[in-house]
Amino acid sequence: MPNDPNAATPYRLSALTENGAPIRLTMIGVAILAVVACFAFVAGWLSPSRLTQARMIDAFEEVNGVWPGFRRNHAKGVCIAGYFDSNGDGVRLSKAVVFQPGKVPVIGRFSLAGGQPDVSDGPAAVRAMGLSFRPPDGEEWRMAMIDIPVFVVKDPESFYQQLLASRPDPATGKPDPAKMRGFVTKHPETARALEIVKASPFSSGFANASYNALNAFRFVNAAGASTPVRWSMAAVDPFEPEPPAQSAAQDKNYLFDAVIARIGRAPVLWRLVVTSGEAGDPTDDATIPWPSNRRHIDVGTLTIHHIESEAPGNCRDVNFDPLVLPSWIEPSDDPLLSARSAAYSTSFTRRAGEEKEPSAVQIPGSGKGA
Amino acid sequence: MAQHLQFPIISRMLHWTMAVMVLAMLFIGIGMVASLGLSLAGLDP
Repeated sequence: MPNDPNAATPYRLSALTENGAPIRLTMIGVAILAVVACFAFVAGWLSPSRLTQARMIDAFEEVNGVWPGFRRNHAKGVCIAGYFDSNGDGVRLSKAVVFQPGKVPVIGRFSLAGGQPDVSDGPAAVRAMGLSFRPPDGEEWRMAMIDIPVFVVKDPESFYQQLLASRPDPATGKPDPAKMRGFVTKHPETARALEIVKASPFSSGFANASYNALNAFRFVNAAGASTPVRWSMAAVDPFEPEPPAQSAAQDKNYLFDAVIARIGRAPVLWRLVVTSGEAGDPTDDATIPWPSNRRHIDVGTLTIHHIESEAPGNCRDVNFDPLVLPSWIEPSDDPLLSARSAAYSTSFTRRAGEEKEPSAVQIPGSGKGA
Repeated sequence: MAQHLQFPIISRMLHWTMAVMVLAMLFIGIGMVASLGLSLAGLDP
């Protein structure tokens, strides 16, 4: 009986005038505010100094500027394709399908470290190889490797601080060396890693460089045994050191042009070498090399026979996230892995919504890639 | 004596379980996109 004044409905407005109503309303308000405050805290809105994936990518944009459509790091690159021919020796360490004997199609990308897509190739530029193994069962294995033997920072916070220290000085347009020195002084692990990097010379090009997946992972075999591993793509082309003075007059794409010409002549090969760690080898610090007497297992050969400019649908639109792993390959406790995955994802999301510019690296005579 | 109108117990349990789960979902989501690690949601490898 809706009009009966005695009908007890708990929702009548007159309840708001009862004694105690203000207290009850206040308690409801406090509860809602508490939930909203907790949400804001978890989101990082209350802690501007907390490092989030968005702030990590903001720092890249601050250092390099915003280049719409391009990756926020490793912006300059070119797409490659080929296959991985597994020799079956990896099966002892991991049951992953890619290690069964046989061929798996691979696409990938060569790039230079740094967030500027029109940067000139140079002797000190760190080179990278991103790969995506695509076995027929659909279980992808992605990796992003660089041609230095150890990484120079050990955790996301140090990476961020190093990035900020490399911010160009507004007065000179160049990074302030004093700031970089200050960072290295505070981070002895970076000082040690830089010594190791300096002691191992760069090769003369992309094709004869070896690329290291610096972070540790875990391989799990059919018996369930989990082994800490690091791996490298070891160049088959003979190593030649980078000539000391690549003259300034040189073509700004000389490294990319050389690898385009090299792949045009014949396929380029790398051996996938897995280093099997032992108890006590650090898996959570990519600045520390493992002892050189660890077992190295050659598990197969990567053949790259095709190269093309970045274009819709090819490697341009792939996020080489190191945590895209098949079953039987697992992340280690390295904090950089989840940070890389998170930051790459933010970079990918931002560039996905932007107009695309053609890459600075074009294949001569192909007329493609715009 | 006013009679006390209430939804059946099953509906009330469903309502409050949903409320908790919706809030948990929002927190896990924002926690994942605002952190560089996976530990917040117990997703550590």
